[in-house]
Amino acid sequence: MQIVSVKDMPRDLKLLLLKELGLGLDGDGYITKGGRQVLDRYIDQPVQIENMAIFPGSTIVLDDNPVSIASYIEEYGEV
Amino acid sequence: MGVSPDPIKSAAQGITAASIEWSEQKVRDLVKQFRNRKLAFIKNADNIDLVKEERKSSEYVILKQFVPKAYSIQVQMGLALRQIASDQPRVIQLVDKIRRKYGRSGLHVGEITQVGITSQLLTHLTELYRGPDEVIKKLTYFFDHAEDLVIFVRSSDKPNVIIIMIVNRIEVLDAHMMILFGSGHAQNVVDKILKQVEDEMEREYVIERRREGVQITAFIFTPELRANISHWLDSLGMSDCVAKT
Repeated sequence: MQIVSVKDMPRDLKLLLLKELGLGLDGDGYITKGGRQVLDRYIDQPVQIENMAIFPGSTIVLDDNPVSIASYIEEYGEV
Repeated sequence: MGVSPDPIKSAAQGITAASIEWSEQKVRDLVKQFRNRKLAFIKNADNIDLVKEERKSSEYVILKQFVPKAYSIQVQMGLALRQIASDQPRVIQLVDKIRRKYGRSGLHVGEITQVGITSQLLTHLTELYRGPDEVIKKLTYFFDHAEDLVIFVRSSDKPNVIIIMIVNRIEVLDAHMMILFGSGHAQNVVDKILKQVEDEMEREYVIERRREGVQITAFIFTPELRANISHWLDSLGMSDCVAKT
């Protein structure tokens, strides 16, 4: 799997990316789905656009931190 | 696909971190690949690199054979904490995430892995118990009770207070061992504690010390484990580690 860093992606294109993936953004900068904040499934915290990691498999949105990434790899296998 | 990745980094890690000429069309192209499960998006490569490196490390490859699944992430995060120790802001962020997810006890498992105790303990357990299932069972028990079984000694601690904790716990808990860790000035406190245990206790506890840089780790075993331990202490030429022989 190729990992694409979005660190330098312009903000308007990040918004386009979210839209293409069926996601949104609330006024506080948190990613939403169906109008509700998306929670990182491993740490139960809302995910900010500036710290997002998005993995395939039903579009899994995570906070970009080692705990969540390692948990994803444990569940889905090496990336 | 309209992406110009750093060829060296991409070849080594499968990560495209730079040199992308972003445009709407490129985002749509990347989304197509994402839908085909060929691609993931991430803020930057640092965290995924860190996780992948630790999972490939020889220490984790050995540990994962015995570490129960429930503690796998805490152990990996302990190794990660060691790796990023010089980057304090990153350490603080990771400690916060570990604590939020796994609580204080989970962080403790990470910290004892960070300072090398988990790997040292595994070495002891594989010597003490012949079957892998027994080693896994003992290691699980150890993790379940890590807050009681491992004492991070501080330079301000009173040796007598720690000794009481050791004696109470080592005799009650099924592990029949305690581990002390001290760093910097706390090493002196650990030395005082061990000397008192050796000189003043009626019970002949078995002590094994390990110094590394500015830190000391000491394993204290009950005499009942002595027979199991003595054969490998002798084989390693470490019989002087045994108290009151």
